[in-house]
Amino acid sequence: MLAPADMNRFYLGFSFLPALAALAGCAGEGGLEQSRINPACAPTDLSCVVAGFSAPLAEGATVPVDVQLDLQGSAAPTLELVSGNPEVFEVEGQRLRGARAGVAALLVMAPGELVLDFLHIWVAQPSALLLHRRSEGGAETGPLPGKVQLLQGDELTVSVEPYARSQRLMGELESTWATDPAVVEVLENGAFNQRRLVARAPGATTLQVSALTLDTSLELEVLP
Amino acid sequence: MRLLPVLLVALGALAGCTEPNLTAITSPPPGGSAELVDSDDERAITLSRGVALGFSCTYQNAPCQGVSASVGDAAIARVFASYVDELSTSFCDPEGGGECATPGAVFVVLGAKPGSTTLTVFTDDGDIELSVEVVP
Repeated sequence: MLAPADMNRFYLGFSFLPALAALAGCAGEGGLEQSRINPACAPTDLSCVVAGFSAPLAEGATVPVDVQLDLQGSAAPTLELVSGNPEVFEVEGQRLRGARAGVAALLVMAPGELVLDFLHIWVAQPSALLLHRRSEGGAETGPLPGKVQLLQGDELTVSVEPYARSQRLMGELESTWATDPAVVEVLENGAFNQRRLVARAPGATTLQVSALTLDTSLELEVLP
Repeated sequence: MRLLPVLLVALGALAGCTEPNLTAITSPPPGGSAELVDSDDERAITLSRGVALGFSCTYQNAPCQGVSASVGDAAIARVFASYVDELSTSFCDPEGGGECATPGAVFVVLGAKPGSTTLTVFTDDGDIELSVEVVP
């Protein structure tokens, strides 16, 4: 349990993440230079905060979008997001869904069909899935090796990430997860592409994760 | 001497130099096309499908007045008016004294599907018609 002073330092640390993202360059800056369009990242998701839309969206994946307007003398009006080509990606509320490989403009529009800005978004077909380790708060701590040992009662949060060859793609995939639940239980943790694994009893099992037409696995061993 | 500016404008009009100008203000994405040519010989826009291009309309170094735009076939290309920061320095012409008190006249054209059509920009100072080609 963190002391209040430690908690302040913890939250203060994360408050610097947007500034870090800004320092990383003009990620997601619109063509008309009037907005920044980025994935709506959890503040603890450092890789998402820093990278922005620096990779294509995976086919079949969705990503929530955050639009920050920078208009002189005006706050943001009601905004509508419009896909330049719904065959490449579709807009579903505040989310984009990758449809097929290609590029298309995401238009940020105000009432009266006024374009305030736009950003070209790429969509790519994933060729592999990799499992990444997450902290309890959702921060990514890196890719997982092929085997993990746990002690009975341990918990491990894992996310499945799409890749196209060596490039990591954007987006959250709807996925199916399976293990021997007597050994390791897989629990929903409220994010499309993440699960909480709980070591229930000593033994060995294989975590199987499938998304789109791809799958990946992780050997799990629970020690007494 | 008082007639000199009037004579210069009249000479410019005779030489065909006083039509509004269209200028691209955004770049295409890598591998995509978003090009606007506004020359004496050719007025054309080439766009990839799904790609957007922002362009401004100016007349004698100032934003065009009374401006609107339309396309011949909205199934091939769509054009939208754009709101821009009036005082954004990116729309100032340094040679024009840098005065930006007038809102910029900016449009965004979007390639909807492969084909050819026309885009017309209507202004108080004359209309401009461009050919638009949308490529796959």
